[in-house]
Amino acid sequence: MTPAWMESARGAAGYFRLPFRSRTWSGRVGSWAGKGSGGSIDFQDHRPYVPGDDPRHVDWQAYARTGHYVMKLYREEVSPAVDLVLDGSRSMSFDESKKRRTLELFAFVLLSARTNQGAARAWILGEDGPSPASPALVLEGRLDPFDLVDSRALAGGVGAATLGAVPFRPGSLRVLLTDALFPDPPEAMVRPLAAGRGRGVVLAPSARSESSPDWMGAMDFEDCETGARRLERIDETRLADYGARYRNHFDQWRAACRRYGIAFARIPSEEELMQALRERALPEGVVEPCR
Amino acid sequence: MSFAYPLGLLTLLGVPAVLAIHLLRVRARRLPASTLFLLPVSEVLTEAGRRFDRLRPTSLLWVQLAAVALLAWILAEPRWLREDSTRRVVLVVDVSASMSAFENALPEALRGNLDRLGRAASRTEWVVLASDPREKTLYSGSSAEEAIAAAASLPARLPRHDEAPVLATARSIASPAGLVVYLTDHAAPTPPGVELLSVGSPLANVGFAGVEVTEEGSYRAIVKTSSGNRERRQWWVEREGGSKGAVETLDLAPFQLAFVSGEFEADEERLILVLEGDGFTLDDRLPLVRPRPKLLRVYVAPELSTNRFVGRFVESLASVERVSASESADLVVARIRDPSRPSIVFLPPAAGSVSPAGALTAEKDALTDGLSFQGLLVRASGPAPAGAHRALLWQGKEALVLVAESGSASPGLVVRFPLESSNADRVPAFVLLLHRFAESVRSSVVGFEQRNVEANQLLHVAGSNSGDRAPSEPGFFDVRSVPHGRNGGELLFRGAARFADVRESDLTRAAPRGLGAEVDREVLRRNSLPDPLRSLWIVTLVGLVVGASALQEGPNRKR
Repeated sequence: MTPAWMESARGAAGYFRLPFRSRTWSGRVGSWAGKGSGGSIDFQDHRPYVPGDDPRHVDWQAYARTGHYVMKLYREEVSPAVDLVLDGSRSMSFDESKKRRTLELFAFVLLSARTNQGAARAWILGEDGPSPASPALVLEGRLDPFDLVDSRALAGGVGAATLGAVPFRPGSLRVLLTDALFPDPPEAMVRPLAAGRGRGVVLAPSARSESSPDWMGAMDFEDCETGARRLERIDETRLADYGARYRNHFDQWRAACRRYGIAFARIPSEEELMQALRERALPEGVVEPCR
Repeated sequence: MSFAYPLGLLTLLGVPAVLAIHLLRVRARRLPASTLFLLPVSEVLTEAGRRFDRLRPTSLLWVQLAAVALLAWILAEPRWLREDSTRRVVLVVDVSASMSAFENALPEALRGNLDRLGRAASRTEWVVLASDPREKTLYSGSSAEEAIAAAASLPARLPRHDEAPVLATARSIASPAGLVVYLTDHAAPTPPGVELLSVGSPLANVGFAGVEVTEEGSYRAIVKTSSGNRERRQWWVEREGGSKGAVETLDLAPFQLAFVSGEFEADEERLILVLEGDGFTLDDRLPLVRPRPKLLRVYVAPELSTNRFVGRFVESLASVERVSASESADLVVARIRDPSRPSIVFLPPAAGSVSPAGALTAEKDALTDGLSFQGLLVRASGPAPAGAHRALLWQGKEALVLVAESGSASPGLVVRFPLESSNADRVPAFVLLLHRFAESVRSSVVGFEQRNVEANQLLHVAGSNSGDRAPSEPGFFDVRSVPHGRNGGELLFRGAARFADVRESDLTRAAPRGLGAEVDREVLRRNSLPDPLRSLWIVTLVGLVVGASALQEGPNRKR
């Protein structure tokens, strides 16, 4: 039986896809514009014939007009490489809605890659570094990524070093699925996404219990990452201060991503996935419409 | 400024209550969090296990404190006295003996209540009266302290008496706008328009309640227990010279009457029985004198000396000396009236007298009061006496017994029927009548007498001022004759006054009771102006309550 999050992701993938159209890619032959010339039917350029060129691409009409052999060049079409990295920290499954939203986005990225002939690879960031997860198993419903997440969960959140250990493919589309809830500076985190001619995308599932918590009075907090306890008294002032820090934190993430040309979108878990992608991800260029 | 409802200020107790609620540590709500790194560690990190927290000046706290303060202000109803307001307060101080047990508590109790009464008008005029109508006004003026001093200055020694006349006088002095306060020690019913202020409290008392002393020198005193519990008291005898007799112990059941008895020593004229002291001291000392009745010299005329009835009558009189000459007698018993001497005259039978017929009727007189002469048989009546007389006893139209008019030189009792042919010697009323007359003669004789009396008892000592009274406190006292030039000052009476009003010595029903707040509330309303911003405060209070509710509901709603 197909899980509900998979159904939701499948529906979203029918309307939206990863931003494949926004640039040229390199990779195996596929259906997306490559960086060089290729065998597609899209005309790209003319150039003089040189020995060794494929005579099938000689522009005979030009030869009739000019008496010189001129070669017709066509655009290369490739299958973009998609490297999906899932933040394995425990905060990604902070509550049921956020966990579901994470699964939906994970599946959406893989479905989008598969539908668009992308070569997808998935990595789960855990205590012992990145671990591969088979996209095929996930899409067939035989593997729940959170089974891997739970066993490899990071106690302190994703670190720059952990992300740097992911073997991103050159020129790949790198999708980081993280809630960005760790204190490290965002520049260090997003830099690996842009390295090696890569194109980065950050999808950040969020929960209202994090953005607008119902804290008031005496609180006995338990850090979901470390299990550490903290007693605090929350009043209106402290709550407002927390809200400002929360917004500032994501403003910094947004600014850092912009600096490296990385698309960043926060996807609230309380909204429908379609609505969230349309209203949050589409304007940021994190996804694009399929048609 | 005064408060019409000072009890409303009790609402301020809500302030510590609110503070306590805010100080009490609220049980922390346990919650997982994923964003704690965005929440700075607070300065006062509360420690687990503490029951109280540091007070945090939150908006809710300030709003609640303001609401409590405002509510107290509204409920207490502050009023500002008009400068021209005046009020007269008349204090009637109960001076009955039971109040002596609370003399020390009186000034303090008065001070607390009078301060409050004084705040009901800009100027208060105090008048202090004693419940004893014979006392003059103790104080009249505007100083509450002086009024208190005057009220506390009068010793409370009177037996139980009716305070209603003084309260009525006080009511008229106070006028309808004023106030009358009856200051006593128990919750006595008061007439309309009189407020009660009681300073008493229940006390166990053991004291002397009566005594019987014989001329021979034996005494037997009654000890009364006014207590619901068992009491133990020591008692002893204090003799002249200060020597103290053996100390004995009385174990007394609740409300028991006990007796102590003893003898005067030979030639001893006075002593004091003493009980171990308690809160009510007036009945703890019982002064006693050996009774020495006043001597009555009686002359019996020769024609009656053989009369058996007359002989027995004279012998039955106490402390009598028979004299042989009428000139030296205080009382003459004869057939013929001597107008210069008090006398009892038994008229001889008149010739041809007839037996009187008709009903026996006694005139209203001190000598016949309560006496019934029914059964008296008289065979004949004597002649009418000379001089002005009035009849005491009638049979039909015949006067049987007459008494000389008060304007006469000396008192005289005339029996106008022959004793020999009557049964008068067997009619008690007739014998009593003679005794009463003889004792009235004795009381008018100037001579020394020694006896035990009650405190405040009215005394009739011949030769001294009329209207002498025994002292109000237990003790020995003398009464001397009115001096005339060099003469006078002769000792006429030596007595021992004892406290004898057992109603006053029972303090088990004493109870404190303050003046009700409503006493001066109406006066305060009349003499003062209300807070002009009262409506505003009420609206503000409603706003604060709504605000506090919203502040409290806010976090709950989020949850």
